[in-house]
Amino acid sequence: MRNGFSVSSSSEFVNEIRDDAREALFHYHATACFRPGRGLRAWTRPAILGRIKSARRFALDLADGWQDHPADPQPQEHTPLDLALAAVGVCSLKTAIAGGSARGITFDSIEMVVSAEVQPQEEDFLPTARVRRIAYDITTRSDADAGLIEEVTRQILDRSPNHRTVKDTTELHFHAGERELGWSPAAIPAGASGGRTVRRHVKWISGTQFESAGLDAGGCRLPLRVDEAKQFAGVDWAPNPQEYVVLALAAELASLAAREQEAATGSAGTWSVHAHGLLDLRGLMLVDPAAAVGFQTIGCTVDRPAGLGADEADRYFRTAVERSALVELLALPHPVEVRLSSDERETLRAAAGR
Amino acid sequence: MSEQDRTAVGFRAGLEDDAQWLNDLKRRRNPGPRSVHHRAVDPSLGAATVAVHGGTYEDPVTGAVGTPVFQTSTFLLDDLSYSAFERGATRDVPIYTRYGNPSQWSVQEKAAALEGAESALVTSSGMSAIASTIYALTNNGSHIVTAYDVYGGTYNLMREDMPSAGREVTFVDSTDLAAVEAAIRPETQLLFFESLTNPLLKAPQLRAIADIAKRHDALLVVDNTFLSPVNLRPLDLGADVVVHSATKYLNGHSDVTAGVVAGSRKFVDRVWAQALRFGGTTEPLACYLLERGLKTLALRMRAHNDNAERLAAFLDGHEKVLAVHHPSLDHYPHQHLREDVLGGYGGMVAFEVAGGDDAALKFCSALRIPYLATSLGGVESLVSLPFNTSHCSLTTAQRASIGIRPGLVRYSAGVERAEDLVADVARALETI
Ligand SMILES: Cc1ncc(COP(=O)(O)O)c(C=O)c1O
Repeated sequence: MRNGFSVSSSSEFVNEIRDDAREALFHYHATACFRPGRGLRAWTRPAILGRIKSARRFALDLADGWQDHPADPQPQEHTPLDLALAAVGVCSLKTAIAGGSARGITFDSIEMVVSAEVQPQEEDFLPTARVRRIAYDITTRSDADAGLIEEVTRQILDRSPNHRTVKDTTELHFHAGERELGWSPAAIPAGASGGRTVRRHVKWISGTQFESAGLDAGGCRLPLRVDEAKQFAGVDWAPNPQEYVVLALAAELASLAAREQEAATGSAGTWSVHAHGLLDLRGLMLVDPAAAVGFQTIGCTVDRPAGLGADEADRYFRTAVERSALVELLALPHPVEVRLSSDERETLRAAAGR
Repeated sequence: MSEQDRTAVGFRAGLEDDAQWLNDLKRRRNPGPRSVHHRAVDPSLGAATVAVHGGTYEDPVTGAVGTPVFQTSTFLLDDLSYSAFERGATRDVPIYTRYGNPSQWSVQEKAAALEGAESALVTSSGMSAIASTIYALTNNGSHIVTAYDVYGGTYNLMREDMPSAGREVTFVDSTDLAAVEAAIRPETQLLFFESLTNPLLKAPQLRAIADIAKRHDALLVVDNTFLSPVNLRPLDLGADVVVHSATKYLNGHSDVTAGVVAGSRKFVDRVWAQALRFGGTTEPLACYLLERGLKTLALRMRAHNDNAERLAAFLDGHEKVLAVHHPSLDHYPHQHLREDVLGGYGGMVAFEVAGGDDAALKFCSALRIPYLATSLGGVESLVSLPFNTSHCSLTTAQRASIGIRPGLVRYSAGVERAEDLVADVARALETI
């Protein structure tokens, strides 16, 4: 085992998907439900990993951003954006470790601070803050020389699926039952920047296991665990980086749709959103140059509250989609800056403002 | 004789990596593990030939015709062992017997060839094979569909251990396809059925169940203990993994407790990793006995098949016998089994004698050839009554609801002369 990874298993998988593309298609699913008075909860549903199902039973209570008041000085719940940033950070580090392991590098540690500059909230009630730019401050300690580690780490820019989804344009689809809902992403306001910065520390533990904790005062500082299914080198310890993306997206949309309904009618019903995304591992593994690297074919289906008409529900949900920070983060290209360091202590201390 | 190499075929290919990225990695899943010294037989040969020759360790030093007994718990370390550790390929190099041993590889190769599988695993018991397989192939939060009349040990594992391990289980009538399909949920990962059930010899429609499993991205595991690969090969019918209590027909001499798991290398590697953590290792000496037993599997199965058919034919219509359960009989309800089997139906016959359990007890004590004992699949005939053994925890009403009525006798026909078994049964019936 190198870095807690079985290189043999990676190798067997690469050669399996070379022979049989269907085995490379990993479908991840999550559902989120907003209930008035009860709040926001999201959970993973069975993933289909090639031809194998993996049950994936993980659930999180999340901050909905508008019902949770007065603001808790030490919030115990993460926001959907916290999940998304952890998902992007872990996916990037994992890509570096997987690539480094194939290359024979032994890592002592690899960690990053992922920071997102978010715009001030556009309207007072909008519980979502759009991301303008992202930065990764990555520090590694390994047996490889600085040139090699830099090369391997920079490969995440092309090969990390969640990173590519944030950096590139990605198609998103939304449905109400069987009907597809047309939508257009709200334009990024010109020159908007400099609201505040949300920062998370992301730390590799072993193999596919990571932890990510918030670094900001006023944000949830509890660690989020990240892992893979045991069918894919993990130990079923936590959702994987792609699952965090669909968890975050479903959660934000359920909460926003409810918020729209409340703003319009004075009360909100129960909103459920099911999100799905596809990871084609032929992309990240460079098995097929035509395969997309990014986490793609992302879609959500909404279940409207009981008693709410379809047209009205569609209207709230579409507005939620168009205002969602995470829809924007995933659908539109965002600039990402990567800074590498091998002197981790200094960088982390500086980034954490300690 | 071949040059000495104790590693599995294909292991060294993975060592030549000069990888720049994941797509440069060369190791693939290979059938086995088997070394160059383990005989790989042409799978198109008949079961009788495969049973004799598959997996034999052809010792490059002595030229021994039979597999030596590698009675050791550990092996010398060398660079290849260290590479196996480093790369997570420890199934491919003999390092420590719980991980693998050439005696185990011999049996595994033979069992895999018989089941038409890429890979097999030999374990310390049938239950060890079953527990490791079910655990390895499911996750926390998953759901399993199985039969309410699976073997008692399996039933207990499903009912008593799976819920606390985060797996929910639904028990269905395995011969009711609609019930099987209706039990499926989004989180159903595994369907577990026996190719022939105990004691009433019901046969689920494995091809159709395999289709259901595939449609729902679930895996089908089949316990093929009662039929053996000589009579039925579940993988050919669409199952993903086959398990056996090798204690029964595979070993065949009632002198070894062992289990087998067979399937693709992908799945069996995962079960292997689970079994080695659970500790269900098979001792090399037990592997020797099991491999020796397996050599005569096809011969023995022919005798078991014939004897059970002869007994069933004799019992069916006998005035002191109220019902006979055997697939060879015209009134047997699961006729599709005739299409699925390759040889026959194994050595089991179940029948209900007139006069209830007291008469059945009397009948058993009057038999002179079979031993009164649980288990099955050995060369010696065995007889037992479900009401005071395998199904004693059920009430009379519960037993009746699953078709086990008073007077039911379970007869495991051995390989003795059919005429002797029939005459013995005829004589014993006269006493009730
Ligand atoms: C069908 C079946 N499966 C599994 C087992 C368990 O096997 P073992 O006793 O080898 O653990 C048995 C044992 O009777 C059996 O009959």
